[in-house]
Amino acid sequence: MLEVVDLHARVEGKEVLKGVNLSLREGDIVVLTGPNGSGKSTLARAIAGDERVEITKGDVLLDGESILGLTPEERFKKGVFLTFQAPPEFEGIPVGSFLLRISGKGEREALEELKELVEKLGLPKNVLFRELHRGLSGGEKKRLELLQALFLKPRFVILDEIDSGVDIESIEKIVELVKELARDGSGILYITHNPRSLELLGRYRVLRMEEGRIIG
Amino acid sequence: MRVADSPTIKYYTRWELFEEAKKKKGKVEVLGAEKQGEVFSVEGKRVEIRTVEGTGHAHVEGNVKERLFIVEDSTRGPLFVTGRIQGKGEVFHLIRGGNIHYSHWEVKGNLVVRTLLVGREIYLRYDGEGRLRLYGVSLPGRSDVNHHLTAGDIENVHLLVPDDSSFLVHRPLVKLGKGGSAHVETRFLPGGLVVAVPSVEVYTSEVETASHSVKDLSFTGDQLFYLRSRGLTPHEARSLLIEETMKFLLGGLYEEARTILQTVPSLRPTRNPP
Amino acid sequence: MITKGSISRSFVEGLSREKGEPEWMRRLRLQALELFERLSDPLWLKGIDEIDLDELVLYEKVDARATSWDELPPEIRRFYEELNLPEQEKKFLAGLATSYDSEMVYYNAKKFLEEKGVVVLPMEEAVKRYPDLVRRYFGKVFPPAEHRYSALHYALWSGGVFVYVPPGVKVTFPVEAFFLVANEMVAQFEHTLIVVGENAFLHFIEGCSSPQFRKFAFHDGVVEAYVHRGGHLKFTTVQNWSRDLINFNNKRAIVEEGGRVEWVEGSFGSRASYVYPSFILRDGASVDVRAFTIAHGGEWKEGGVKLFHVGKDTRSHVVSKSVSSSDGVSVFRGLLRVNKGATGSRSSMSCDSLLLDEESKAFTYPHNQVEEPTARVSYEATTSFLREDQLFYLRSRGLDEDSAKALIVSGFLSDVISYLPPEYASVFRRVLELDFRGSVG
Repeated sequence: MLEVVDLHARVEGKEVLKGVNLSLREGDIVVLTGPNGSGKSTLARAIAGDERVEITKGDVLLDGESILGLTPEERFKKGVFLTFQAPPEFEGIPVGSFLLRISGKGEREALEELKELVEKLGLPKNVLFRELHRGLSGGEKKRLELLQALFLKPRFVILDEIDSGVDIESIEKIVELVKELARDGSGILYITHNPRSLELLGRYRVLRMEEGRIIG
Repeated sequence: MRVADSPTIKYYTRWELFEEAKKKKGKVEVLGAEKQGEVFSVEGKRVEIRTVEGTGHAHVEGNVKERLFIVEDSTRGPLFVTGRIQGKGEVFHLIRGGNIHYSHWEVKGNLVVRTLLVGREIYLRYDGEGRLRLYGVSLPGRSDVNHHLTAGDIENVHLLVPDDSSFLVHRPLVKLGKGGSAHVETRFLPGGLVVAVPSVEVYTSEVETASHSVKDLSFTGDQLFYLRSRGLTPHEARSLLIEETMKFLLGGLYEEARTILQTVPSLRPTRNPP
Repeated sequence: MITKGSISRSFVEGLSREKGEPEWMRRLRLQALELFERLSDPLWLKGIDEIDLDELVLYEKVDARATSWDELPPEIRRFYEELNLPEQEKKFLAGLATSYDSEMVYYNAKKFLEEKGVVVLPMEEAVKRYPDLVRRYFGKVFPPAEHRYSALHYALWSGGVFVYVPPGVKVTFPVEAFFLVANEMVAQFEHTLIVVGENAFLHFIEGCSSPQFRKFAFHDGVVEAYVHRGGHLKFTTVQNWSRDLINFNNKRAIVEEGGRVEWVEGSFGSRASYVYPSFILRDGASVDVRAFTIAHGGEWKEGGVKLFHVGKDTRSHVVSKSVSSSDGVSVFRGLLRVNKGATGSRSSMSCDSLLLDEESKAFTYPHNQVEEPTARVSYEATTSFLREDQLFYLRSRGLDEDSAKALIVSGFLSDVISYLPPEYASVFRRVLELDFRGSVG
C-alpha cells in the first residue's frame, strides 16, 4: 500500500501542500481531481521524489515504511512510477534502447512487446528509434508515457493528466487501458480534470483537491 | 595545399612545434596504398599511415566506394599527413598517437565522416564540399579541429571531451551560397578548456537552412528528475547521455574504438542493469 | 586604413585648457594621443578606407548640427514630415532649436533627482564639479588602450553625460539624457559615464529612433557603466545615424557582486557600425542583453556582445537579432569567456539573422571559451529567410510589399522591441516602416 500522511510541502518558498492524506492499494484506482493550481502535480512530484518539492511535514509510506529518504531512482526501483504532465525532450537518447535498459527485460521478448504497445497506443511506427519525446505532439507524448506504464507494470502508477491534450475517442481507450493495468495489479492514482474521464471512472473513489488539501 | 594561416588557429595551436617538425624528415609506412610518385593512392577499404622513425610525411589520395577506414598513428614519431578523399559512402578516421600530428584533408562528395581524435598535440583540418555529414569526438589532450566547409549540404557535430589539463578547439567555418544548407554544432563535456568558434557566413537569402550552436552536454532539472524517476542515478543518466551521443557520432567506429574509449575516465561505459 | 593629417599635442592641450580641465584629465588625453599614434588598427576593422584626422578635429570646435532647415538632407526632412511630429520636435531633432523647453517639461523630474542626490550633468561640467568622483571611474571601465580608436576617443573626447546614483536610491522614472542635456549628445567623441551605487536603481535612455543628422562622418563614442554591489541598471540605446556616418561605439559595464544589468541596444543607419557592448560579471552578477542590427544596401553593420564571466554564480542571457536587405551585411561577433573558478555560471545566447533577399548577407563569428567545468553554456544561432509565400500571404490581405516586409521584420524583432519603453516602441515601429520604405527600390 502507498500512503500519504498529512503531507505539507513548499515549492520555491511557497506552501503548496497543506496536509494531504490519501491511500492507494495495489489493483485499485483512485481518481484525484481539482482546479488548476490546487497542488495535484506537486503531490505527484512529491511522491516521486522531486527534490524541488520541499517536504515540511508529514510522510509518504510504502508498505508502512517511509520513502521520504529515498532518491527518485530508488523509489522507481521500489515500484513507484510517475507519468509526467509535460515530459521533457531529450536529444540523443533513443526511446527503444532507453526502455529496454530501464526495464531490465531481455531484448527479444521486450522488443516484441514494445512493438505491440506502440501499435495499441497508435504511436508512430518508428517511435522506438526516435529521440525520447523529441518532436512528438502533446498527445503523442502522453501516449508514450502511458506506454511506459503498460510496459513496466509498476506496483504504483501516478498518472498526471494522462488525458489532457488527447482527443475524445482516445480518452475511452486510455481509460480502458488504465483499467486493464489495474486488473493486472498496479495501484493507480489517476489525476485529471477531464469530464469524460471522470464519467468513465465514476465507480471508483474520487478525491477532490483544493488549495493544497483534499476536501470532502 | 595551403596550410592554415588564421591568427585564431595559430593562437590555440602551438604552431612553432608544427613548423619545426615540418622541416624534419623521417620514415613513414602506409599500408593499404600504392605509392605513385609522391602520392600514396588508396586501393581498398583500409589505409594505415604511421611514422616508423623520425618525422613521417605522407600525401594520400583515395576514392570512397561505400566505406573507407583511415588510421593515422604518430606513436613512433611526429606525423604530417595531407590527403584527399572523394566519392560516396562512409569514412572512419582514427587519429591517434602521442606525438605532434598534423592532418589536413580535402573531403568532397556525398560522404559521412566519423572522426576520433586521441592524442597529445593534434591539428586536424577538413576542407569540405558537397553533401557532408561530419561527426567527430575529441578525447582529452590538445587538439584543434578546424573545418573549412562550403555548402552544399553540410552537418558537422563535434563533441569535445576534455580532462583537467586539456585544451580542445572546434572551429567550423562555413560559407553558404545559393541553395546551400548547413548546421554546425559543438557539444562539450565539462572539464579543461574548451573553445568553440563556429563561423557561418551566409551570402544570400536563397539558402535552405543555416544554423549553428554550442552547448554543454548536460540535463535540465526536469530532464534529470525524469531519468531518475525511471531508475537511473545521476551518474548513470549522465553516462547514458554521453554513451548515446558517442554512439550517434561514431557509429560503426564506436565498437572499434571501445578499447580507446574505456581508457578515458569520464567515459566509463555504463553497466547493464541486473 | 589610411589616416590623413595628424593631431598635434598642442591641439589636445588647447582643447583641455578651453574646457578648464584638471591636470589629471589633460595628462590622460595626452597619454591617449600617444597610444593612438603607437597602436595599429584593430583586426576586426573593415569598411573604412580612410580617415581624415584634420577634418575630425574641425568638428570638435564647431556645432555639428544643422543651422537651417534647408541644410538638412532631403531624406531626413521627408522623414520628419512622414513621422508627423510636431513642429517643435522636428526642429529639435534637426538640431535647430536653440532653446528647447526641456526645462519646463522635466522640471519635476529634475527636482526629484536633486533631492535624492542623483547627479546628471554634461560630462565636462561633471569633471569640474565632481573631480574625485569622476576620476574614480573615468577611463577605468573601458580603458584607452583597448584599441586604437578608443585611444583616439580619450584624446579628443567632449560632450556626453555623467550620471551618478547614490547608494540605495531608486530612480523610478527613466532618465532620458537626450532631452535633459541635449546639447551634449551631438558630439562625435561623447563620453558617457554611469555609476549606480550599492542597491540603487537607474533606467537610462540614450539616443532616439529618428534619424540624427551630423556634419561629421566618423563617430567614436564611449559608454562606461559601473554597477556596484546589488545595483540595478537598465540601459536602453537606440540610434539612427545618417547614411554616410561610420560609427564606433565602445561600451562596457562592470557589474559587481549581485548586480544586475539589462541592456537594450540597437541601431539604424550609418555606413558602417562596430558596436560590441561588453560586460564583466563578478560574483552573482546577471546581465540580460537584447540587441538588434539592421543593414540595408551598402551598409556593413557589426554587432555583438562580449561577456566575461569572472565570478561565481553569474548569469548572462543574450538575444541578438539582425536583419539584412539588398546587399547589406550584418555581422555578429561574440565572445563568451567563462573563467576557471566561475563556478555555477550560466550563459545562454541566441543569435538570429533574417535575410530579406538574394543579395543580403549575414556573417556570424561567435567565440566561446569555457574553462569552468560547472558552467552551463548554450549558444544557438539560426538564419532565416524571407519567403515568397510569406510576402504573397500578406499582400493577399492588403499590404503592399514594403509594409509587408516591415511587418515581418517587426515581428522578427519583437523579442527585442518589447524591451523598449512603450513610447519608444511605437515610434520605433513607425521608424522601421519608413526605414524600409526608404531603402527598398
